Amino acid sequence: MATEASCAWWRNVLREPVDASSLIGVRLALGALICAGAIRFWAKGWVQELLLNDGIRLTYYGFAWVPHPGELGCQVLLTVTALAGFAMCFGRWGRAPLVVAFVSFTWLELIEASTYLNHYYFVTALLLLLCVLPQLPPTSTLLSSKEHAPCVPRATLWAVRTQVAAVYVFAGAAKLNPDWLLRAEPLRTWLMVRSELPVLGPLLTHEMTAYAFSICGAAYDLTIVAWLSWRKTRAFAWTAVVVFHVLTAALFRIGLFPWIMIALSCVFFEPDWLRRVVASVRDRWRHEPRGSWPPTPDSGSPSTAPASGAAEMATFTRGRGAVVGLLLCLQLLFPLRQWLYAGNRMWTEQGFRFAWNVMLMEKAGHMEFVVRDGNTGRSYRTDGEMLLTPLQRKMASTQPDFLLQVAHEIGRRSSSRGYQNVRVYGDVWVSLNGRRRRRFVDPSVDLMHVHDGFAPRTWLLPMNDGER
Amino acid sequence: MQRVRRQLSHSCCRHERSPFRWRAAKRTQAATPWLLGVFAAVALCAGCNSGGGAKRANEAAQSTGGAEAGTSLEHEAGSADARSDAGSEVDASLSGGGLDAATTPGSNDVELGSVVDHLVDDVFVPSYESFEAAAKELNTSVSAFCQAVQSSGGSTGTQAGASHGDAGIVQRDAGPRQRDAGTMRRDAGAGAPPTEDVADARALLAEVRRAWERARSEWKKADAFAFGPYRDQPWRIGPKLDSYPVRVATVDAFFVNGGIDAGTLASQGTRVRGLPVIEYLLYAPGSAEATLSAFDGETGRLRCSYLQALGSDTHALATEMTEAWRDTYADEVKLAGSGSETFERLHDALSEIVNRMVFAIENLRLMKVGKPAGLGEDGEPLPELFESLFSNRAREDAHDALLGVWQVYSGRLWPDGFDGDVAVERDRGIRGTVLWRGPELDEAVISEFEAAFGALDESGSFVAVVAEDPTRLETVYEALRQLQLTFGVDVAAALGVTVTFNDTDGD
Repeated sequence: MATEASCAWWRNVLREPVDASSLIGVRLALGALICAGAIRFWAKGWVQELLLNDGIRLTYYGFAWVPHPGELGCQVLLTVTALAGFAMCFGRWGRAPLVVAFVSFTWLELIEASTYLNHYYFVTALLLLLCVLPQLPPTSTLLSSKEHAPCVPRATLWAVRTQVAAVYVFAGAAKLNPDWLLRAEPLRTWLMVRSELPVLGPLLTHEMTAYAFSICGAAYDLTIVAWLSWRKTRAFAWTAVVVFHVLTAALFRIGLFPWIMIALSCVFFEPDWLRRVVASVRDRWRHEPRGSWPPTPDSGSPSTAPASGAAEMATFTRGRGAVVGLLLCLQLLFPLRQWLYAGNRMWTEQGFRFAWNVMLMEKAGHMEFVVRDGNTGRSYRTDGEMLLTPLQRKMASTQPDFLLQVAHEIGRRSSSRGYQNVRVYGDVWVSLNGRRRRRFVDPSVDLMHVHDGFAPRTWLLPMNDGER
Repeated sequence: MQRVRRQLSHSCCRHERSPFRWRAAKRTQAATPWLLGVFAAVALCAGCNSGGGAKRANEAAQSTGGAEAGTSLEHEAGSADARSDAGSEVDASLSGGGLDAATTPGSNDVELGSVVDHLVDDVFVPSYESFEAAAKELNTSVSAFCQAVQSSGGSTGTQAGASHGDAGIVQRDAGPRQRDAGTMRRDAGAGAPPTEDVADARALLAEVRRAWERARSEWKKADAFAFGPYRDQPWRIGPKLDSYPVRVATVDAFFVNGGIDAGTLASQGTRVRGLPVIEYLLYAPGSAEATLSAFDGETGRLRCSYLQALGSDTHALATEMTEAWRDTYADEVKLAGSGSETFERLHDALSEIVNRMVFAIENLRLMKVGKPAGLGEDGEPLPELFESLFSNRAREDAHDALLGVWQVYSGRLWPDGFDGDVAVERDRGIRGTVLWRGPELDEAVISEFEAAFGALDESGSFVAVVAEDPTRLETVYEALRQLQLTFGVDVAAALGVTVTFNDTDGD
């Protein structure tokens, strides 16, 4: 009985109407950044540099089937992504812009796995979530008065908040490792080379600065969601968000990630914060009495939600709820898989991707392969350079699944050159977080007989046991 | 910037006094300073990236122009004496177990900007100046040689051949390691007294060969920083000076088709210009007499004309390279992160420098040793791919290229060759930054340099070794591989340098 009552209470809470303006802001910011990101990708010539390679395509496990659309196709996909992002800003045409942006953006991501970035994946995950959530009202409704403001079920807002919170919390948890906390790596390395910056520069070369940044960074990631959610600390918290992300943008080359996180951190504000900002600006513009801003304490409770907007609210059906629940469970459980494997996950990178391991390590490597004809014994050594773009080479030299794909491609090509019963052995060396290099791949293992998957990578040598 | 800082400070103070001030105050009024605080922080941080390099810009502006450059750095003013002390003072050597305070892990104040400035002023520009001087000497020697050959009526080779047969030996003008390592070469100049003209021609040939070898040596040392004017437009000087193998058939065709002058040469392909083609003309197969014979007659006249054009062209390119560095590119590198169009951040310049070092070692190992010796993918020795094949100078080329890498690592020139037992100098070379991580990595780098130079010294002539037993070059190949691993993995990781030429986002 108590359980039923509890469930009913939760159902009611999740279905309560809240102002949709916060989520409209999320869609607006996401659309603008997707559009800007696509234009930036094109302007930097990254289609040719990163996505087109006659040698080899590096793919994610299980996604090798995704077709490469060719140069023209990539340009079209990029254009479509930019247009869809632009359309998202308006919130018109139903879900179409969201779906198109999701498909085109994700397709571009899946073409070449060496371009993987956590924030690309974040954009994909968020787009997918927005596709299945109840449809949001157009952006123009931000101009509506509070009384006529459209609403969404509270669960919609909470779903997006959960997705954003997952990034911070998992990123923070990942930083609770000895390298980060006890050696201040990789920040020590990264900060040292920014010593030219004025004001901060001289400080950055000191070890204590790296330790301070490491500890503050971990604490920030782990707790910022709570500080943003608590009304009393929100102002400080958001100031910290801005300072933190602007600082990371200034110090590191991490593209649009800081701006995405600054924009999306606002989702923890009151649901109607954006509407009040718009109203305040509008009032100033018209020289009318100012509205209240910053946001007043507002629980987003039904009593404060506008009645007319609530009446037209899109419903959260049982089926939709199940899909959203499934997606969120996946987002919360999938990153945990990395802790199921033995060994240092930064070394083996098992379960490392799609798990919000953000800015966690500095890894450098060098790979070569010894190809042997199993019948005649003749052999040769190659680094596969002719097959790889510079970015692929860099990524494959430290990431085991890519490395394996390169080994297999070299083996295939050797077969076509007349080698029989081809065996490929890795001579791979890696340095992690400033340590001296260690042998990465067991040189006695024929990589042609190793296949990627979720099983432990026994063909890698443990970091602490590797030959020097 | 000062105003922005004051705003930030003001904003912070307000928050410190009353965390809940903005809630208690009239909200619309409180929002303004709060927002100002946020945007002041944004502006300050953004300033870090864009305009923030005024100090370095100022330093670079002051330091433009050669040797005096490094000594006028403003950021070390206030301690000008300290700086000159630091610059001249050779700190405790590694063998002594002590490190300069500036390079002690944890207490360092290693100034990357200073490291880069020193590299430009003390290694890159002086190296190209040395090359320019050598190219000038080569041009002069070529002119003198051709004058002598042509004034002798084009019969120097046949006379020399008739009177002396195989001539004697002339020692190369190379570093001490090269001199005592079996680099002697047959040449004209000893034996029974020749006629005066022939003796002159032979001596001048020896002289022009020495001049070529010196130019070649200086050029190869610059392989370690072959970026900027070397490969970028509008200069792209590197390939014009050093493309190999020489397109022999095309070169020979010039003698049949009436020769070529310096003006025409400048429009020709890279395979018929530069140091390798001069080498081809100066080192005919066989003895020195064979070379002198090749300058006989009408073909010899055309050959001389081509040689003079090459000498002049090489000198002009060397001058262009030096001027490009001195007048333009030195500032591009030194202003990295502070207004440089090429390097958005100082770290980008450091990355470029380390990348070129790694590439120089890799290229040496795979293309200059491995492939010709049959240690590469093809498995078959291809000795015709050795550099400086005609003068049999492949090993010396490799030695000079490696010395260039050492010079960048140590941060200064080493006219007497490699010496690993050397003290640490403040803010000098990549070594200055590596030492920040502790002495272990530096010790490994030095011992691998010693191994690589040792292997080169013991290898003997590459061409001869490959003819006898190519696997003897495996020691050199392996030593270079270890050095490549150390720079490409350990040094790159220690400096957070991406070993790639790609410039994408991270995470």
